Amino acid sequence: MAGMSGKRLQKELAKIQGVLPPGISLVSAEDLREWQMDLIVPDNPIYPPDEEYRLRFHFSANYPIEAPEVVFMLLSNPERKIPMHPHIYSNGIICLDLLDKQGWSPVHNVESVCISIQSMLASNTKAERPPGDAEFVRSNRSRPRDINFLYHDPTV
Amino acid sequence: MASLPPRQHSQRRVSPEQQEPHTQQVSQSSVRAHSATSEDSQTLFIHDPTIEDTQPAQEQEQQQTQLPTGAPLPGSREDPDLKTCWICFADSTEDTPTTSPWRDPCPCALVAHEECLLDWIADLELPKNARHRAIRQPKIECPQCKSEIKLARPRNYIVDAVRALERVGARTVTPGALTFLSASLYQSSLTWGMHSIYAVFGSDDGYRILRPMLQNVIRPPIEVYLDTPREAVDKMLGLIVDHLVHWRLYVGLPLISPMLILSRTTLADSLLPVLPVLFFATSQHAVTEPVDFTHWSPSAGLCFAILPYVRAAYNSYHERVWGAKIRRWTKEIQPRSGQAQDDADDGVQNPVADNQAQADDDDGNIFEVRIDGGIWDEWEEPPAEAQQAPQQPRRRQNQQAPPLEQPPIQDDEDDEQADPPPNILDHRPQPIDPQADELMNERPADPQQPPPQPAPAPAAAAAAAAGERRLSFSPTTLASTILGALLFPTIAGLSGDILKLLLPAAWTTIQLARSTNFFGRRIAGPSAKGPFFSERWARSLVGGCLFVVVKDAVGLYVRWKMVEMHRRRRVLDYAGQDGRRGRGRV
Repeated sequence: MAGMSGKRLQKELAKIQGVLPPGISLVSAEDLREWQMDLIVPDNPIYPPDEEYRLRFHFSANYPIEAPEVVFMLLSNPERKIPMHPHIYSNGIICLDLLDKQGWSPVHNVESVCISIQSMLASNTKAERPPGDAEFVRSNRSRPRDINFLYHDPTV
Repeated sequence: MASLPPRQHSQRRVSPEQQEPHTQQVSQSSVRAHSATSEDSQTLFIHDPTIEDTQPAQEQEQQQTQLPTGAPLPGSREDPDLKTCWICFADSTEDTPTTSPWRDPCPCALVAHEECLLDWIADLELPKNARHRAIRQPKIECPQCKSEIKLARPRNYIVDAVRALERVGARTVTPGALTFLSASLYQSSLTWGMHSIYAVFGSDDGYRILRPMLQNVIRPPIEVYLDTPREAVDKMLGLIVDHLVHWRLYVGLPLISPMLILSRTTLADSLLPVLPVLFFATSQHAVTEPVDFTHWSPSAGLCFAILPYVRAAYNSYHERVWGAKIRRWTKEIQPRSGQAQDDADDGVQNPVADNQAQADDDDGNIFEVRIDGGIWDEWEEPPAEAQQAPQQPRRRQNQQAPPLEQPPIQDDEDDEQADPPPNILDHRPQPIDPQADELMNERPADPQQPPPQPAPAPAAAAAAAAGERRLSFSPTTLASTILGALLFPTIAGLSGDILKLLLPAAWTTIQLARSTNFFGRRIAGPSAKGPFFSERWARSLVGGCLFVVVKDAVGLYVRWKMVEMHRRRRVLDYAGQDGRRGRGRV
């Protein structure tokens, strides 16, 4: 049902242009399939309040049955960095069970994903990259959805 | 209230979508990573997952009366009877005649189009990899209340039966393959054992030993279904007993090949001396006659049983007397690589690692075995090995390891040795072990190395210090070791034959003339056993041992000679016709 993704995305877009949770804002959604959101993390000294992070959502034709691909973007103008987190690689790929095939369900939406990521960052205490980050960034060729992450760290 | 029907379309229901903009609750709540809004905000309105299913109806009734006093609903402008599909987000206002019916499969408030639900369920049931296809998928649960969503699938018995068969079949593939492989191995070991027996014992004795087994092999299979049950059972029992009586043949013969191979390494050094004891304990002779150690012309069993001890004794002698010298000589000859492969010895010595090829975990052709133990009587490999390890992190992905043959063949290997040029530079400052250790410790600091590589290097340093040895095989080394081991009985037999030619005839023939009895007939009874070497197996045994000893001796001589020749090498100046040099110089 490829038509389903279009309709649902339109509805989500309409809702998002209304009221959004604090710290989350829509940057662009010209192409219905690819959205960009800006994120600010409240109350965490690791992420200063003036630093914004850019999330890129990419939806497939099977959305919402299939999870969107969500990555952080590194931009220079405006300046957007990749936040330091033990589950975020320096190429922007996020290791979150919600975004994986097993953890995703259509009951979530763009807003809930943003809020989850925001809370993941807000509750973080270690400003570091995941182990094996350099290796992963150098050698990874597969799309995030094809990567089998091992979700073994419940504390972060 | 149990009397209430579980489905309550008519009552007010708040769909999860309308609660999502409850931002004030979200920022304060402790957020769980998988669903930030739905769970928390809905505890007010939809039943808590921990509460049982009979309660939600009641709760919803109570809580829905609280709705006006709860958090404001931005979406309240919509009709309360509106259903919103939680998958496609379309409401019932957008229903066209073609949209699929609404379904409410679980106690919570989520409703959805049937088509959307089926799509979602189909995606959930899709296995991640084809291997799991036959296994039943986990239950479909509602993402919110986690209660099972039941589907009514039409049943077709044929489909079910076939799928059940598929499942069973999928399970039996692996055990079947393993059984087949082990049966093939068993058969080939058995055959090789037979050949070894013939090679060592000669044709007559060999046939005598193997006859029961050969008879069993030729025996036609039993066609059970042709007989009455009792006859069939009798026949089968008879067959089994016939096989079991000669269990030594069926168990011992296939073990000959693995034992030969293992005896070329030190892997089974602790096991081999135990085998003779086992033999004596289970032998039939142990009951009827005492095993006689003092009687000359020892029996065949005794001789072979003693063999592991002889081997162990020879090994330790060789190591103690010659080991250090061999190491020194080899190092002198090959300063660059550090290890030579000790292919010259068979039967009693251990295969040495091929250095250049190893220590690369990425390399599919090479595998490493870490062996603990002090019975390793090879020279120290780890320092130089580990040096090479960091040097070849990615280079040897699919390269065949060139085996470093004995020194005489090194000329051929020179091109292969030169293959990775940076290697050679680093090998130069190497000869003394303590230095090598230091160098090795410096190596982890090399920034080029990927993180896992420094770990093996200091680990190997520690290993070298602790006396642990790393044994690396390359396929060629492995193959040559195995072939040498398997051919040993044949070689022993041949050596026995040579021995027969060399020894005086008096030693090797049975003199029947001495055993005429009172009636003038010649007796060839058990008491008329000839001298030790008249038996074929005895000659093979001694021949094999002598072969090993002679080979070792020749190897030692060659190595020593090569060291000497190595020292006397000189580089020649260019003596050509082109006027640059050569005048007055040769």
